[in-house]
Amino acid sequence: MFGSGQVLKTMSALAMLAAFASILQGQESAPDLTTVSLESLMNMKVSSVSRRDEELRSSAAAIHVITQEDIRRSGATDIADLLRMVPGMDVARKDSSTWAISTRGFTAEYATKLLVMVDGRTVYDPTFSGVSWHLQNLVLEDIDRIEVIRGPGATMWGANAVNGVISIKTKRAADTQGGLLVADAGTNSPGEGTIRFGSSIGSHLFYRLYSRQTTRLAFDSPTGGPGGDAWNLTTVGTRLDWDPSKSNSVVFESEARRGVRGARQNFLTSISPITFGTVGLRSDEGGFAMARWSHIFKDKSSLTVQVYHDILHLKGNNGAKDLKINDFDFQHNFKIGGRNNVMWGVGKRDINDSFPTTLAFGMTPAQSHTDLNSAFVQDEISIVQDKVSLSIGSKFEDSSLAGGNFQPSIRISWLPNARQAIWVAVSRGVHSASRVERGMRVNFTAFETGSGPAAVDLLGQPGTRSEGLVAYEMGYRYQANRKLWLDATTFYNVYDHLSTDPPGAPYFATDPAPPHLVLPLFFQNNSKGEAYGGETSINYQLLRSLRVESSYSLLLMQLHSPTGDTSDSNIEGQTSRHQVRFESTYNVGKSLELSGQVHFASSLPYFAVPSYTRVDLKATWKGFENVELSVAGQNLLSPHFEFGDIPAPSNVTSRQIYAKVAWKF
Amino acid sequence: MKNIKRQGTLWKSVLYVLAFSLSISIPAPINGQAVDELEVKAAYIFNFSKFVEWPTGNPSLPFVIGIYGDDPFGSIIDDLTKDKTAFGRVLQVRRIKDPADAKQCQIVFVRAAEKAKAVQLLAAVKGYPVLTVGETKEFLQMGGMIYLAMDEDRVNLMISGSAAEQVKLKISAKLMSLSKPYKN
Repeated sequence: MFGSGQVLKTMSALAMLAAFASILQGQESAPDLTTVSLESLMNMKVSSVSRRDEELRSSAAAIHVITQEDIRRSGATDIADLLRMVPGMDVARKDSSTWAISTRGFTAEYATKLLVMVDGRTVYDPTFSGVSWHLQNLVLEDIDRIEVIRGPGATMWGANAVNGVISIKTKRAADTQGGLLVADAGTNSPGEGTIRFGSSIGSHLFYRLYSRQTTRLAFDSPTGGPGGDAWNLTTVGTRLDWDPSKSNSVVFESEARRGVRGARQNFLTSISPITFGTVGLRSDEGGFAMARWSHIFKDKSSLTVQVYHDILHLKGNNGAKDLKINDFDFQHNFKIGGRNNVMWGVGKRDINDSFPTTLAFGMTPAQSHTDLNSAFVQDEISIVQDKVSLSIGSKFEDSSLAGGNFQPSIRISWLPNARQAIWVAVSRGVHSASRVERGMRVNFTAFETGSGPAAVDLLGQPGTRSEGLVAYEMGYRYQANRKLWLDATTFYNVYDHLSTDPPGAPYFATDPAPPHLVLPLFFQNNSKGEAYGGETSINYQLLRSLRVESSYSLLLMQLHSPTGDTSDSNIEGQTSRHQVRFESTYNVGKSLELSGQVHFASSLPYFAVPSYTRVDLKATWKGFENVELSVAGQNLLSPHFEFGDIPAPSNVTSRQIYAKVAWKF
Repeated sequence: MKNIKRQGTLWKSVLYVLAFSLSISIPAPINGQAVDELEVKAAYIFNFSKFVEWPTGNPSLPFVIGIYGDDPFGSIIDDLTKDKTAFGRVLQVRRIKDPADAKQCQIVFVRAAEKAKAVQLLAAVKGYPVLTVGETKEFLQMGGMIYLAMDEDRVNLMISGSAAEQVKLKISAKLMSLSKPYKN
């Protein structure tokens, strides 16, 4: 029977359990706020989760907001990795500096259907319609929120809001006063950091100056050797907020960046004999300046004018690329009667680009100037006050490169009671043909046939037209009680004129010499199809100190390309069908914060990348005043591939552990 | 051997005792750990009963805090006001369905999402000494008295002194001093 040792063991275990329960119990009894002074009440920090969900309750869109608190509790060191916490986002890390990110399909290093903006400035490259995620080297501590909408963006946003819109908003300068010094090092980095200083001139002008240095080590290549993808980037910038009067506010932002990136990619340097060079190091240089003025009239209507200039200079062994964008946006917001909230605006963007011409790569024409004019109008109509609202509008775009398009949208939101919300939407999204689809030539490989070299070329076509999407979406939100939120969305996307690059008839080319056979892959818009699925997430504040969040997303695709074009299964197989995520944050006492995330993504058949599970953990010690010490592990379970070798090779995403210090002074 | 076994048992007892004493000494945290926004707002409403003067009423009647429309507080405000008094009157929380009932309350709260109800409420209590509390700036512009404002992750106050004066409610200087400036 039980020996005394056994009894004692059991008693101790029970005692531990009881002690733990009573610790939690002690934490759980509500503090008696009736004895707290008014001044203390004013200084108390309140948790933002329920507030964020409350604000989004009546949104007629599949929207998810990443708050600064979410960013702070996450161990992610890059914006791209932060996006993993959004249900329905597909985030695949190709190597140390590259991510393939999209939502609801078409995940690629150059994902063409996602619009990404930082403080109103578009950060995707319109020539490729993709985002260089590593260049978005923002000071994470100074991000206010990241709003992610899956589905065609509300009509007011910029070009390419086809499958989704990501809007990153930085904090106002007034909220980033004083100094901040952050440094981290670990298996991912020998040392990197951020310094920021904010101050004010008078009581109406606030500014901050910042610099972030990122240095990362290489991942492993598939064969286990060094992946050649180490990189570093230095960013220096400023934000200035000036409110000269109650009805006027001005924001000015500017940044310069410079960095170097390693790349394992090979490119064709000669077809006779067939030789390849390595891209090796690539340098990234660029910057932007942006100014925005908002004015509120006596009748509460408002207008906003924004201008920005953005430059990018990319250089590697395979040539140099330049991009210069000048953008002007105007927006006016006003009410008609008590029911109509109207927003309209116009925008003008001019894009100047210059590409290298080498054996491996060329663009026709090599330099070009594109004008993009756009306008939008939206009316939000309150049908039944506080209960039913209808939003109708459209965006109009006219590009000197791709012609005009029209993207209408209609959305209805219904709040049957204070606990529930239902919304439906039908909208059109358009991806305008880009320079790549119209005029790019990539000789990406060559091989010897019995009678001379044969080159495989990826070729844009001048007649390539824009891709279209009609999205049917629906969503449901339920607040069970103060602690439990549920959000579910479902979508049915119908695509037409999808761009694929099926093989064309081989032909002989004489340039470059010697005459050789060309096996072309021509960009064409002959594909169409459907994508459907949904995302659900549950957010539960289990205890005062313990929160859990769980989400599941499903994507199914059925594309119909003409015979001979095998793109269907390729495209269907480049995004995970299922993603499951579980997150938890737990506070131990006053000084220790723990958080963990487990993420499962199903396989990518096109790339033969098997399904994987990621585990990320973080512990932060806040015991010292003004200093936060943290230790975080990313991808702790096992190294794995997250994406395939198109267009450039992918490395193994390895385990990372780092330590960080953040000091506010 | 026997000695070692005894020591093991001793250690376990020590651990046992430590575990319990540890659980007693960890205090319920307030600072450094986020508090629920609703608890802070409920605490403010409770404090208003101490820092505002109403015209003398019947001391045998309860001091009523009314919630008009959807109630976000639930048990939070009931627990907070349990067994408490104001001006010698028992504190009571009432969920009111008819705006006319607000006239019997000393304080009435209406949440941000209930815009239409806010308008009805202010019309119903016009001229009556009822302290009206809302969650939007529009509430003050429509004649409401106190706006529980969110400033980042803190709850602040914006008080319309003129609205309170119109119905002879005296807001103490201390409470007014904590308000963010508001001009009608």
